[in-house]
Amino acid sequence: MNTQYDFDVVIVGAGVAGLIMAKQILEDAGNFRVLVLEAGGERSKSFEGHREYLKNFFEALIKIPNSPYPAEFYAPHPNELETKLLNKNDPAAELQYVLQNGPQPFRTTYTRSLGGTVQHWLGTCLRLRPSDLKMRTTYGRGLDWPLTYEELMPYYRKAEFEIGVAGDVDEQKLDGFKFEDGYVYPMEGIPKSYVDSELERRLNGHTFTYAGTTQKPRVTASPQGRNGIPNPKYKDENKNQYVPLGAVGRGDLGLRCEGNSSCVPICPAQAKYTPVKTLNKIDIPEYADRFSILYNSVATKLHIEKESGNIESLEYKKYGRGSISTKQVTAKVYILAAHAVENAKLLLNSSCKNDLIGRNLMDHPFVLTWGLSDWNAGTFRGPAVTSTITSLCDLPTRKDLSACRIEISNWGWNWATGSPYAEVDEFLGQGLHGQKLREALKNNISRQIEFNFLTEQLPDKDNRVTIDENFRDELELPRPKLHYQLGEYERAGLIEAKKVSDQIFKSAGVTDCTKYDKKDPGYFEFGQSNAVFYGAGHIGGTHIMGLNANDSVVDKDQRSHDHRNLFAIGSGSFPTMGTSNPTLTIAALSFRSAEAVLRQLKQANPWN
Amino acid sequence: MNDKSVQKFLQLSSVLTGFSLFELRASDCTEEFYETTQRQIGRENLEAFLANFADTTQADIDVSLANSFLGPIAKNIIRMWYVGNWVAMPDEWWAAHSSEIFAANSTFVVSSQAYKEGLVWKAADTHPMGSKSGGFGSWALPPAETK
Amino acid sequence: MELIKTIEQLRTELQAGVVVEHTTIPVYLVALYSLRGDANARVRDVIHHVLMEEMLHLTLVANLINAIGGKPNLCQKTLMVPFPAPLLPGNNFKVNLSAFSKSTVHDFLQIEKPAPAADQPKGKGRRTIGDFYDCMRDSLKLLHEQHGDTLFSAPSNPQVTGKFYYGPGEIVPVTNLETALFALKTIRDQGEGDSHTIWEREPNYRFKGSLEPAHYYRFKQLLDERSWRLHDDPAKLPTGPGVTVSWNDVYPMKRNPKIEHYDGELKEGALKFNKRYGELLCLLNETFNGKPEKMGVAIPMMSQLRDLAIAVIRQPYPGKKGFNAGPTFEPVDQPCGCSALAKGAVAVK
Repeated sequence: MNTQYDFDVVIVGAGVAGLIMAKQILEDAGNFRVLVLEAGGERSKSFEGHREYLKNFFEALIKIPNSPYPAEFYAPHPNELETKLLNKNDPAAELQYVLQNGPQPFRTTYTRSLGGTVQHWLGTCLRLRPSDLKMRTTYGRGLDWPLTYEELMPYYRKAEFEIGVAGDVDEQKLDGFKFEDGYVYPMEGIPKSYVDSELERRLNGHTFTYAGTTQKPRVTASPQGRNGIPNPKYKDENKNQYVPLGAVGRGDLGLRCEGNSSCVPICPAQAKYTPVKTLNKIDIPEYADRFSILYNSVATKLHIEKESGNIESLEYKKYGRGSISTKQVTAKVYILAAHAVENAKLLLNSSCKNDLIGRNLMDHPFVLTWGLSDWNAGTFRGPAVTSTITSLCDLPTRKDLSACRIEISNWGWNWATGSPYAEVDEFLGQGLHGQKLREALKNNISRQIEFNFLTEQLPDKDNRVTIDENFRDELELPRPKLHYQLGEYERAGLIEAKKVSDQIFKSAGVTDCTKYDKKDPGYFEFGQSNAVFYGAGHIGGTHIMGLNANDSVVDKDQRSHDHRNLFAIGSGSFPTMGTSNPTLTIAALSFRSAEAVLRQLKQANPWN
Repeated sequence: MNDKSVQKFLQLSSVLTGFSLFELRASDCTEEFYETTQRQIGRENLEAFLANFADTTQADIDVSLANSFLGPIAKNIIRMWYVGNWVAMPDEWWAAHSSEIFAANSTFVVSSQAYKEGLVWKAADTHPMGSKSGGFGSWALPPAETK
Repeated sequence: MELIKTIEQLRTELQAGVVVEHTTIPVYLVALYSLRGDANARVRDVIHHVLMEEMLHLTLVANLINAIGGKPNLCQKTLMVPFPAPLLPGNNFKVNLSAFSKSTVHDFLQIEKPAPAADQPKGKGRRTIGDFYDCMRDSLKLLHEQHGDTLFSAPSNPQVTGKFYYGPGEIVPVTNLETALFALKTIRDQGEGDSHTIWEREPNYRFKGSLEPAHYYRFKQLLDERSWRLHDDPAKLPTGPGVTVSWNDVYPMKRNPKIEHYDGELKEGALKFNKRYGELLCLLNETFNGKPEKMGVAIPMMSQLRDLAIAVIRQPYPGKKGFNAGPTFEPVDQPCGCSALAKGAVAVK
């Protein structure tokens, strides 16, 4: 054991990327010592903390994704309402952690506490498609990944085990995904909702036109990171069947999704995966002498050795009640797993030189459409989304406009209007009360159909995170400033997809009720059409992976081109976004990069 | 707390919300909502409000809802039962009827229980988001009505 | 208890096990639903956890009956009885439907009373559930010596497996002596344990090392408002961290409520609950008699029943000022919904 360093590995961020990395390193026979620094607190670690989060959610007036998870004073995070575009002199700039520099707002947030943003993920576990990784070669757009789907396949399997994915491989195969022969997900697919099945039935035999092509609506159940029925055919690496992981502190609960219908932002049963389940595998007596996790510890700066470019030490601030102390820690390898914006912030604050740091900020901007069905859809039951219409995910039209995945909402117009609150206000405003009010609400809410059109955003160097020396947070760290807009490609894709909504609604007996508010911060126009876009909570880019320091920040192992003992991991490494939710790929990349880290730790000279 | 007033409040709530006494009692929010209303608009205003509904016919209710004093109170009570939120009284109402001893004129979730018992979820034949789950796979079944 | 001599008699006796396990369920459910607000979160956990395990025990007994060629009987006509109800045949101890209280927890302790440890003389005291399962275990071994594996004449009868159950403990399909003994041991250890140890003897792998006290000792924690430490003496008081119990945050439900006292919507609601509960039992009867996949429909029904029961328990008891109503679990005059398959289930003696 080399005692020249405080630790073998220091990981910044206790989210899905960082904790999987920590687990892989600790489980290796090399007896490596790992420190995880978490900027936020540790509430999600205990059953009591979980209950506190639930109470926060119940008692929040606006139930946005971050509503259960209050930001720490010294480790703030943005929330979905902070979309105001600000200039330097605006007094509101002091109140908003992330500075929105426009021209459009970045409507996506993240969470700084144990478990990270994945605490309020939906749980969708789609892999990226082979073509998603070769956008430049296939469609002449965006960038190619330095990795192929085939290279990622074994790591997707590890990720699907770790997260505990419930899904139907055969259905995914029909949807164009490739799997090893005989592979099944750890758990059988989560049942499709009644809304899904009814739409599927009603759309059967119908077609729609899209960008000059004719398409069939393909309703595909999503693989999901929530506990369902273990698949008896599944065998893990040790030939064992999958055993679902239950709730933190109460392992007998949360072994199945209960249909609480609040996955975003919090699964009361804890049937949905959160990184705390991974932490529980390593926060055990066997590793006590070589694994530490420090909460309320914000990494502030990497110190770089001038000649080699290697990282010498990491500076962090530990805050407590009324005290802040600055500390240094040394390690052989440093891993930034603080999510895209914070990773970029830290790299920029450390004067790392690569000009691409912070650039190519991406998301899955989405547009909502909504209507009323002429049948009872039985809304607000089950996980937020159990199926998506995948017909537009990978068409040749990707050379002209962005691909789109259409999520079918099980929660009526919850995201579009704030249903059912908005409807109660609306009918009260009309003077309804008593039985009439009750019936009007029943009649409206149970027929609400909503589609979410998630589009692939291309990397654009001008969409970027910078830091602003003039605006500092409570630890005196410069705050992130975002420059962001949708390009022609994405606008065209969203508007074209919106036309599909009209056709599907018609085929399925749904009357369109979509209305976009000109005053909404996400309002945009394209040609004769307009829409409002939202952020999906899928932040990508900022330290993209590629072949060399001229085209990227990290290599295919997520190792910095410029600093050989530094890794920046997570969706910040994605060169393109595809249309799949990023968490599964983040997890797969962590498993893959852990092998590179271990190789490096085992070298005689780990800095080369 | 005046038991008679609470009973009156409950009966009136039933008429205003369209839910029976049995259904409202099943929420176990009556006392909390009574107290919240009293705290937010003052005891005298609440008593005056309740007194106005001696015999509640449909016509009375329609008139009351349009009344500038009664209407905002009634709507707030309905909303509280349906979603668990107390909403700040309109400025004009506040200017005309508030007194210094009132709690601040604010908007808030009354309590976790008030949220979870929101009648809007029952009206729509479902359960509140985050509570009273339907059980694994319940979402795949047809809604109650079409069974 | 005398050992059982024939397979037929063993089936009948195990059916008594079905009845015992089921009888505890309304008792625990009512106490659980009587808890008011969030103050008793820990109490809620304890009772809920025990309830889940009782359902597991019911399932394991049913699997065992299936394996030895019998048919477990869960039909509402068999299982729904007025309360107070005897816990075990031939025993005077009766259980009540009552709100959570100290006296209710004392009743729970009676239900889950541990048997004397194996090396202690069997007293003349009342029969415990533990005694009953010990007798089943020894009889099963004896019959296996006589009949060999032919004892398990129907190991391929479809049984309820872990696929359909997700709570504490493990459901094993019973196919031979080993799995039969494992099933009985699970019931014995989770439930009553014995007077030598506080803990369920084999922590399930799902608990990831967290050892749970057996039911008796779990309930005792509530009474003592203190949790057990690993090496505590079961004969003494627990010495672990305090357990918050708010004895007043409870709906004051009248003990063993009766539907004949109800009227109007309360009566309708309570009746609806009883009918639904009866339907659930008949559905479970089918589930345990060859159609395990029906569990998928039974689970959403349990959620509905929860909401109905809570609605009833929050109503005032007619004519009894200061008391609340509650679900009565009384038998309902309605046609039973069991399929022909399940109708052949054994009669209770």
